[in-house]
Amino acid sequence: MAIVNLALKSLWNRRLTASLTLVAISLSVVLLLGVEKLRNESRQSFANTISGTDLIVGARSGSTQLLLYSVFRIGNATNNISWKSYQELSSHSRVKWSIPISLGDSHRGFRVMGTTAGYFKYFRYQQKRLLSFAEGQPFNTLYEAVLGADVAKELGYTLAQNIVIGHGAGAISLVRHDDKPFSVVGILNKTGTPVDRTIHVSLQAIEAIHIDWRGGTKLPGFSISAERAAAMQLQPKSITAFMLGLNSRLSTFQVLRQINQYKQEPLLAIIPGVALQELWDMIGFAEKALLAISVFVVLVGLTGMVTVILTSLNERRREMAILRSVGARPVHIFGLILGEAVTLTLIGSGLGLLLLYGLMFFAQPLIETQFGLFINIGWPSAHEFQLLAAVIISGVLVSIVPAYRAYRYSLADGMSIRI
Amino acid sequence: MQQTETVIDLQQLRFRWCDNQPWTIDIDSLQIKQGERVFIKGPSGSGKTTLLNLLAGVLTPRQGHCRILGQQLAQMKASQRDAFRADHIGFVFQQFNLLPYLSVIDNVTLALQFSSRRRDRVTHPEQEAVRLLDQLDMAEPQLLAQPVAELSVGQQQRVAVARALIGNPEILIADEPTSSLDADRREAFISLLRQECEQCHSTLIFVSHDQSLQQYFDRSIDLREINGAALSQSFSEAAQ
Ligand SMILES: Nc1ncnc2c1ncn2[C@@H]1O[C@H](COP(=O)(O)OP(=O)(O)OP(=O)(O)O)[C@@H](O)[C@H]1O
Ligand SMILES: [Mg+2]
Repeated sequence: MAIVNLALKSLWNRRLTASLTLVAISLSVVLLLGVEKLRNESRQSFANTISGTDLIVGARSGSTQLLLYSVFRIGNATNNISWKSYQELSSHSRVKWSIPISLGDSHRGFRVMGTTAGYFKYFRYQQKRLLSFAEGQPFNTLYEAVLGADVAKELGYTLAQNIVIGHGAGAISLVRHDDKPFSVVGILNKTGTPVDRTIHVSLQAIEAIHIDWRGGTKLPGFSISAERAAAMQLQPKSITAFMLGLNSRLSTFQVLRQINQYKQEPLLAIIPGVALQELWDMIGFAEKALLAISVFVVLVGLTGMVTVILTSLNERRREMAILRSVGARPVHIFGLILGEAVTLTLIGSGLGLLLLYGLMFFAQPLIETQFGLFINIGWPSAHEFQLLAAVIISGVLVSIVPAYRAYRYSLADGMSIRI
Repeated sequence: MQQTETVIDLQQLRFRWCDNQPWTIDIDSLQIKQGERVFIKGPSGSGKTTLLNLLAGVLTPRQGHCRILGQQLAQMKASQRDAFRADHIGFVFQQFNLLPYLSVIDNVTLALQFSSRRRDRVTHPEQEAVRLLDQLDMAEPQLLAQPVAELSVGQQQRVAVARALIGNPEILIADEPTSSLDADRREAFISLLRQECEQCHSTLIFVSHDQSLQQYFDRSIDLREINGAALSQSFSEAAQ
């Protein structure tokens, strides 16, 4: 139609201001959709960290703290659980399987976790997926280690590599268990969970490297060689936490209550799904704030557009009088201004979408290595299209302001040219 | 159409911009015949542009009749008046007649965009535009290729005349189209305008406050004489 053609030509004539408006709109769209994408992916990957485990048990502390150190390897346990309690509880009639874990050591910034072979059999993530090996197999003898995918990739380790475990959780360990080196026997496939950044060894190995240690320091003048320690048939005295799978999910609350009321030792059992949700609600606040901010940025972008159009109206009253003189109706003038704003919003949103995908394409590997968050670059989801539609509809709605103003001008001015 | 047909017929026409104000336009009777070349003069603020807006159907009279080409504008809907204007009236403004973002040719054919009637009369819009521009001495290829903002004022006015004439509208209205031209060009422009209207059998209504231009026209109307509003105004001004 003639008026659309005119709108486009008029817009092209003011392409500098128009392109600045486009930049503002598209960047705000990038921010909005990017934040939304990040929110979804992080929520998704967060919920995917553990699956199929009915209860996590640790020494009594906060449920968030227990979740953080047992699942996310963040922070430390304040207390350990005795081996005896673990054995008693894991042989409970309703328990199907159990995975003990023992934390506290690290290797070049990656946490070392002592566990049993059952870990590779029962631990599940992301809708009940089991861990799988990229190379090698589970640990079998004492000084063997299985690496998470990121550990192997970042440190460039391959099978049969010898590694020395440092004492404590810091990135640089001042004291190291260098008398008892480990050999890499397995490397896990990538999971997108903290498992990727964990080094797995047996519980006995954790016991062995600490055999000549007391209270966090090496006993002076006392040392037991790796071979002797291996021959000692070590049994752990304590562990950090354990995971339970039950025969029936229906008994979850019953077992939970029994553990929380366990007489011998103050214990805390948590349901991972519930604790994850609590934790997410806590940190999700920031994420909601971020979304709110990006919504405001979009509004600022659209307001900028309306401002630009409104300020241009005064200069364009002449244009409108000319159009009126050749027979354009006031609704044509309305459509001209509205069409311009809608065009800007549409192109801006489209550019924003393109820019976002371009950015994601480049940033994806970076985000994955830096934050362990895998961004899935698929087609925009229905929700993203909804957001985009909301942006466009808001753009149209705010454009009614200058369009209506132009309409009033053209009615009031008629064909008198005002400058 | 007969030579004597009345193209514009005003009876007891009254208009004011706001209520509680004296009339801006108060014309008892005015007729303009087909093919006439009429000069309407009046000082600044006397209501010339307002009258033209009424003739073109952009404004509607508060009282009285405004019959154009036998049609009562007041009885039409606003959209019909806009269509009527597009179909039957060509307009030339004082200055800044052109849309800066359209080429010379597109500025001329703009008048066809809103009128199917004028569009139908022109089989090849671009050729017709060039033909009209050629008559106005504006068809040099480098002139056509120039951005309209870079044309001289006189050249812009000639493009505006071509736009007003394309598709043969019955009436051509010019609102002080020469006020930004110097004396020599003014004369040339007006004779060009006359000549074009003659060829197209269009009625020309030319408005200006410059009395000296009336010699170029068949008929000259002093708005102060026919507009009662201006009379009473100047009386009241004189009395003060
Ligand atoms: N859009 C408008 N709204 C309100 N009043 C208006 C409008 N246009 C003109 N007027 C008033 O109507 C009166 C006549 O104005 P008009 O523009 O018709 O005069 P004019 O004869 O064309 O003057 P000029 O020679 O300066 O162009 C003036 O008093 C003016 O203030
Ligand atoms: Mg005027």
